[in-house]
Amino acid sequence: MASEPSLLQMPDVALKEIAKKCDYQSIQTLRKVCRNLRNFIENVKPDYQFTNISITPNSYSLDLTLNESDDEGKEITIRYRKHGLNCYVSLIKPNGKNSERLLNADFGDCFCRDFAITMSSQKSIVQQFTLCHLSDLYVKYALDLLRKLKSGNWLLKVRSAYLYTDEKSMIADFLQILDPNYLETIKISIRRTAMTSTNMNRICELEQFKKAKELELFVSGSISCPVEYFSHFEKVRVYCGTVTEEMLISLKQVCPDVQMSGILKNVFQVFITSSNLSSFSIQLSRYCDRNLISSCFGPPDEQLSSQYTEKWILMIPGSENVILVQRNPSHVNCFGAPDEQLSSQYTDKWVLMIPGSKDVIVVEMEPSHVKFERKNKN
Amino acid sequence: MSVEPEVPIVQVEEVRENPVLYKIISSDNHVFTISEHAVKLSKTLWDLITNLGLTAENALDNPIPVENVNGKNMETIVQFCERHKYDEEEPEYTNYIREFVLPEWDRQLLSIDNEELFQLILATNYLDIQKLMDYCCRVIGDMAKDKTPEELRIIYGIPTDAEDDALERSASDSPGPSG
Repeated sequence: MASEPSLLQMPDVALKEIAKKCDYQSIQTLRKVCRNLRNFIENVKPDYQFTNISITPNSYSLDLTLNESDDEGKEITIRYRKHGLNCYVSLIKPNGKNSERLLNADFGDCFCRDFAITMSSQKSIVQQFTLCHLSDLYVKYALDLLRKLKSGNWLLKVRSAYLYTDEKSMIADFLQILDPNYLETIKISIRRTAMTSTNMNRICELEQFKKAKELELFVSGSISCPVEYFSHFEKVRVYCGTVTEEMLISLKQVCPDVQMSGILKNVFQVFITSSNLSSFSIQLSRYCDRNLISSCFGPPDEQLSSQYTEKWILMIPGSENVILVQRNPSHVNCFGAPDEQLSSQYTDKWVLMIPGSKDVIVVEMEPSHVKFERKNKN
Repeated sequence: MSVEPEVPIVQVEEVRENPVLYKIISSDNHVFTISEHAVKLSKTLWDLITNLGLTAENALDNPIPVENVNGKNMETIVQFCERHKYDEEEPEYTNYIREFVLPEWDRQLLSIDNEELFQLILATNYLDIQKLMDYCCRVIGDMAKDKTPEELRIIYGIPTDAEDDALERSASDSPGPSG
């Protein structure tokens, strides 16, 4: 044995301990020191314990941010930048950056390779994973990136996943890189486009969607799919532009037997039949007009309606309760008169009994916002 | 009446118990005495003591030879074990990389050059002292912060790939498993 011991002569126990105590950057540097160390690190796969990861692709560069936080010491941002046929990889530090040029390398490929190596070592579950492309110009790059990540055939262990995109077809690809066994919250924001039932169908079939517990969906366009798609979630928040229009029509097509059907009533039914769902909230940027409601519910009740407020009465099958839908220029109400004790000036509240259950549904309605919550009777 | 300053339990016990002492001889024939609680931190030494059946009466007459560890390292090890003999279990760190901070006393003890530190790790590994191994590795790991691969190669005394190749070529003449 050499008289001067080097790191490589340390017993495996010690090397493993050392690797455990190094941060991500140190490990990446150690990988580059020599083949022995690289092989060792690839075998041992030290856990980096990332708590959150975010990827922001655009046409000429791609940022990978690890452990995003207010503490700059913990946060790591790595930028992969396209430069002709080459790729510049730089570590962005509070005090400047430190670049390396990789010749003849596509920046997307470079990123995917590095990311795969990094994530194969991550043993703990990432709390939050975000993919966000800032402009629709970059859709192609983001899609490309997802396909590359998908082709790697490994799944990210992530607790909550956020996707911000303009391209709805990305959602399915995005969900497919996540491990369904760990995913709990899905948050999707789609700008400048509508969610059709074809898109939703593809997403709803995914294991990742079926196993998740919370969903937040922001759609600036319209959304149309049966509410039943969401019944397995514990908590749902939907924000959309013109939800009702297409959703109501689709509901009518889906369940032609139900004479009076509407998204709100439908939510109520899903609530009654689903034991998981505890909260469902819909926010609309504009409300459906009278004709639309009429097309679903029939003409408004003439006796009850006034000049400014139109009313419909809907029977709930198998229940003595009725649903009262009110529409005035600013909002639509359902479920009878609001509970006066609970309601405030700006928020109307209803408490609905669920037949055969000790839970109740609390409905809150503000102008352009409806929220359903399952609560214990007390 | 003034309140007596709180006396650490450590001292009270030592005074009261008159602790059992053991003798250890290093590879270069230095003799060290170490208390029972301290020696228990080394799994190897403690196993040896139990297997040899050393007791309070005969311990000092039967020094334990440790041929793999020299006096210098043994001195550090004895200091470390005496310092930490009454330590409680370390808390479980959820994120070891960030949460664990090496105590100042130990940082001082371990501020030795890398060659010595590597020797100490080998000795610690042989004597199986988990805590010291942990601390040494922490020091080594901390060295890697904000360095380039070339700097690390020098710090850790690692041969370049070219030197490695040369070594491999000379080794390939002799039979053995191929890499």
